[in-house]
Amino acid sequence: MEQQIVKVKNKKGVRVIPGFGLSMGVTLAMLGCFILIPLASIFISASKMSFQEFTEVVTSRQVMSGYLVSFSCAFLAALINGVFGLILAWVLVRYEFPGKRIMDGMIELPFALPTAVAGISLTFLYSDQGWIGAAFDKIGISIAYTRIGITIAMVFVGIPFVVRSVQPVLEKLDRQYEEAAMMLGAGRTRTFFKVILPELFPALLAGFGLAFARGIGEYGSVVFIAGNIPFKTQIAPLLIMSKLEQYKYSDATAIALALLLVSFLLMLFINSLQIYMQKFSKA
Amino acid sequence: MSKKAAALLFCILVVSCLAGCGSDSGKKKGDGTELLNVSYDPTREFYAEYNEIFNEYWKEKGGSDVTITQSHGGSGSQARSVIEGNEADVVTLALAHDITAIENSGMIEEGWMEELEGNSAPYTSTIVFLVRKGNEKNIKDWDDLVRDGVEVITPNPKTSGGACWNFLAAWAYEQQNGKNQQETEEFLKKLYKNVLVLDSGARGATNTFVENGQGDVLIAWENEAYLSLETHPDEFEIVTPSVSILAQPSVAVVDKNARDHGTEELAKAYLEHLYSDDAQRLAGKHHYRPSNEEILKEFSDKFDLEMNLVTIDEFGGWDEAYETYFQDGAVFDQIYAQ
Amino acid sequence: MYVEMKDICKTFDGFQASDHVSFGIEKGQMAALLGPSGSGKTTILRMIAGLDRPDFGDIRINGIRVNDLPGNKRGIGFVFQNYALFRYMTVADNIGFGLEVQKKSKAEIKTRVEELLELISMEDLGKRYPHQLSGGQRQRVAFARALAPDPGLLLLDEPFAAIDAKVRRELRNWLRDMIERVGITSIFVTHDQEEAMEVANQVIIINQGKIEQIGTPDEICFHPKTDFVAEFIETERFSGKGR
Repeated sequence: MEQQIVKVKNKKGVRVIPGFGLSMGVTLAMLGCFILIPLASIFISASKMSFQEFTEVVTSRQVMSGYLVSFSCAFLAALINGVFGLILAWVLVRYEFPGKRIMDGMIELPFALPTAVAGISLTFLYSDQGWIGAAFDKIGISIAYTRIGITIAMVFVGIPFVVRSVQPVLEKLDRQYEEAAMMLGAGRTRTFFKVILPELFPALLAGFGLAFARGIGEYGSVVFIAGNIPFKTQIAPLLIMSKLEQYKYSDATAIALALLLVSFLLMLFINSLQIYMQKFSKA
Repeated sequence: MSKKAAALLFCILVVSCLAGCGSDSGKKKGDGTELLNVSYDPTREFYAEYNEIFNEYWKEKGGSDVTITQSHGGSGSQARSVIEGNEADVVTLALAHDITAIENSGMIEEGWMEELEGNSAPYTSTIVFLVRKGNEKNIKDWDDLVRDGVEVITPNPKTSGGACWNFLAAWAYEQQNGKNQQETEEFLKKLYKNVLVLDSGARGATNTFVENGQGDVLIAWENEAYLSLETHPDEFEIVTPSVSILAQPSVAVVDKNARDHGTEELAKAYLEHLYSDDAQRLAGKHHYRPSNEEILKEFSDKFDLEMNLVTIDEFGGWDEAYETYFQDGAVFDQIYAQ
Repeated sequence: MYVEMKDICKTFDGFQASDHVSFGIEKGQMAALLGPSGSGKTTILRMIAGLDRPDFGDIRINGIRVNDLPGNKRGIGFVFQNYALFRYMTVADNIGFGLEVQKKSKAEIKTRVEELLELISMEDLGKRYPHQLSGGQRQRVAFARALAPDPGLLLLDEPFAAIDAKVRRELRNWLRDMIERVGITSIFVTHDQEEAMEVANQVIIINQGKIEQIGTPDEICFHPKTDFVAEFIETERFSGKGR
């Protein structure tokens, strides 16, 4: 039975890549061990509480304010990343300059760096005693220990997502679109916003979504630069830690679950938007 | 080869995973010469030296060479790791509360606190102020922290168990000065208004104050304050307030694990030897107050022995104190509730 | 001369794409740049359009030297090989793009777009997106889009290459009729001699970056000047694409 199903999918009955069973097995094992089972454990852990308890935890004022801080900062950070990630990808794809390879490699640094290290060094730089922070302090803007600082940390951890999403699409983007716009009399600005941006939009959206989700979940780097003052600069993951510190596992998972659901809905929305936009690319 | 094979492979992977985990725990069930000490951040150097002292002592007593592994991290997360399966033979944590949490999971037998002297706290510490050299803001005592323009750095008690003591020390100060409940709450509200950064842990707060130059005063554990003096000589001063709290970092054998590993005797001896004169002096050297009064006096140059140190018992014990002050919606949350 | 190329040279990474190319095209003519692939015909077209710059020589349109004029200021319509329709715009928006650039009023744009949709017999398809069109329809939209801003010169790069052989002839006739109707000077690039002979009234044969012969289809067919031209026309006939 099962074998037939596989064969039906392949007209010639010969698989292009051998070892389907093996690779499928590995896929299932990886998915199961590293994603599904841990996620399921969150649901199980949270299901120990009644719905009323759950909503009580999740809608308490402090938790709500944590969500507000996390979501607003992550959203802003993802927007900033969208703009600057696009510019970075553009420069890396469209121009040749010495040190380009090194710069390209550096994009991934935020992935490689332990987030706590990132958080500590960002705080060091952006506090009113740090190099960058001191300059801003002079014009009356404090960065570290404010929501601006949180946003900056989220920008840092999110930028690779946007660059790496946009880069391949930009590489494959046919120059004819730009040339066509030019031949119709359009200048650079109009060409960029009306012609190139729509082409990059699906990839940009994907990068935005990933950066946003990462920002929401980010703890290690944000917690150092955040200040963590309740109702002001407390992020939702910090409240999870706070619940864990009180050995309130189910409360912690309840907060996590709400975060997870929002992230999931967001990714779902972005994915369906992408699928919708994919049909345009057939032309 | 297809889905059946895939399913088979999946099973193999899962089983081997489980087997791997299983064999890991089984491996330690050996000759009882390996000991895992799960501790918290600032004890690293102390236990590194203590392990040598203990090893010598153990061999003198006719034991065989022991390998002691140390693990350090935030006290609360270390406790959680033990509950979730970190095979610690002994735990030496910042707070009795964290050990009680392990007890509640059934891994430590009831009454561990009475096993050893002084509530199973071989060394103690207290809460002091770390200020910048010269003490420009002239900070002498707790009431200086609520003055306008004084910027305070202290970790968040909700995420850092150790920071609860900072809060309680300030509370004790007001109480000792005859203030009523409402006045004390007002005082703490003012104090936390002056808090610039509420780091998630003690190490983070120290980093904020020391490395990033934030704030005028860091409320810190005495031993950690001394560590900052060591790493940054001539930059900071320690100020001891008139009233503070006696912090008792506690130790206990994780009975279940020790039984499994056959290290019960070794683990017990390891903790008991912390009360030996050598170990007590070593604790003093590493800025913990020795619980042995005689040896504590040897360090009278270093530690301010005149401080009025209230104990957690004045708050009705740790669990009650936690309920009253730090539970969600309790006194601490009230401070920030608008 | 409406379009005039004088002594044009162009190299890409040491490859000589244009080697002292000179020719002229009169107003209202329909010229074909014919040659095998890699002969440099598209490069010439792109230089006229301003998409590439010649290393040497002058390009004049309507008597004005345009070498330093960017492509978007030359007033040229260009139909790309794969049409390069903007995928996220409707047919009407595609056609109106060049008018919007000129800051025409909404009403003006609407009228002009409707006019062009009628010209290409796609009145009802203005709201469609490119992916909802057939290949032939896409080409017609690309044509209308290029014509919309009323250019003085129309360039077409292999306009039939992406079209099914069956409908190619039909479309070819359509395009020729259209261009005649609009009366616009046009140059198109092709490697198909039959196509060139049938559509153009002036054929420029190019090989290895050099012009081999310029003439009417009849002149090329019956009086080939060089061996290459003779052979090129001959092989094309034999290759089965012929009539």
